[in-house]
Amino acid sequence: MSHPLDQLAPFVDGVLGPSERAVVEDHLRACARCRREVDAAAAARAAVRAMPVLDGPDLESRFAPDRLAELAASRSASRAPWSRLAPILAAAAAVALIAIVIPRVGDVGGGGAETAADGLTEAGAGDAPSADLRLEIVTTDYDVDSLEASAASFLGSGGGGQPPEADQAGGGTEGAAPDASDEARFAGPGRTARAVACLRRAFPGFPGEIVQVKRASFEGEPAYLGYVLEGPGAGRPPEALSIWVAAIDDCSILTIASARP
Amino acid sequence: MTDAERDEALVRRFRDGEPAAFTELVRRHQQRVYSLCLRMLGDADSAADVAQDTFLTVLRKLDGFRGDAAFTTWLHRVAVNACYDELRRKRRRPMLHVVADDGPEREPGPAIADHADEVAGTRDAASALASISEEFRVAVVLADVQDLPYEQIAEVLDVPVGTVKSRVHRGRLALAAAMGLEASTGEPPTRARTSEQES
Repeated sequence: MSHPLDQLAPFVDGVLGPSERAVVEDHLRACARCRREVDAAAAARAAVRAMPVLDGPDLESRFAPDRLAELAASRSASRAPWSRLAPILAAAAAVALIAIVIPRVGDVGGGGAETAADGLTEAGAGDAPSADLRLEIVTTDYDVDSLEASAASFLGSGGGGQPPEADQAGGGTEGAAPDASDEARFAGPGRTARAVACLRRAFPGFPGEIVQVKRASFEGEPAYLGYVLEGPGAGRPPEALSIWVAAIDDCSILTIASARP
Repeated sequence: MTDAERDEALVRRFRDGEPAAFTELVRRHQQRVYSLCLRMLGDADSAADVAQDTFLTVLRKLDGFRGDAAFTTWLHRVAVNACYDELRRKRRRPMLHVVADDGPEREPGPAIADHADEVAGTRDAASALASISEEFRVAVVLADVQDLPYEQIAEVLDVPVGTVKSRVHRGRLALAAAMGLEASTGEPPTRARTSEQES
């Protein structure tokens, strides 16, 4: 028996003409399977159509006539990055409370909080970057996709666990496409330490070892990128690589990308 | 003047240098775009972002809109593509999950705890929709949330009309299976089950 598969949705929707409808009805009288399918499809259709229409954001105001030129000229989506980062920010908030409150106990009168990367110094012994780590300065403007590609490429190239010095002579550190055309430069230990401190400030309490750090940009905004290996350590393969991206301007989180072997 | 003619007139006025015409297009379509994004993504925050991105893309590309499809068709195509991009981004972010101190990890995936869940009786449908394959979900959403005719869905997805009819039917069956709606009818709809396995 052939089943009128293309006709069952229109039948359920009630949009068949009289003759087509009669053909389907004849078939349904003889075919229990199609009858069951029609019943199930009709129930699902009713359930979806019964879902309420919910109010969305006020986009009309965001696309007000006097804002259109600015919006059209902006180089990336104008969405607030925070909504994407809500899960990690929630996790970070809990850890940050501990990270901030405890040191301040012994730091009364110790001066105001730093607000920018240039004001940061090495962030304590636990966060001191490895001597092998050097800030790589590239001109790449990353977006979410190229970050993901970079993370995957870093892992795929065996970058996990490898200190970056072997790559430094060659300029590119990971063979990733986004950096392939870059002629990388490397900064000294002071700027490297500031970059690491900025990343640690943006991602307080996040586990992992920063094995590579870059100064680049993310969707047009100057950013530090920290390539972070997560895993058991002790020479065992990493479980994941994350790329932390922090704004150089204020060491805030811009995004995070990750890849697993 | 029909809705389509009104849209075309607004597009013309915007191209002729009247910014307010674009704002009017946003006003007319923002709710439908948001509904599409919400039901495709299953998450109110992402839906709000992607709806905004959709209109941003439309703003930037409206000059290239040739008018050989209805504005709403083109708008839906932009929105569907934006949803696919967002779903792809979510899949690529395996680390974005929270480890609770006293519970198991929450795995990433289609977020289903949107504000629709606060409305009694809707949780099953919204959750089930988020659980079926994207190919079927988009067909069901365009047909049963957006109430588009098959021919327009075919244009949005750039597939034959017969394919749309098949996907809508199979999508509804997959949804029914996910909601347990077929339980009282005996033998489960085999194609829906197969389709989900394929996805």
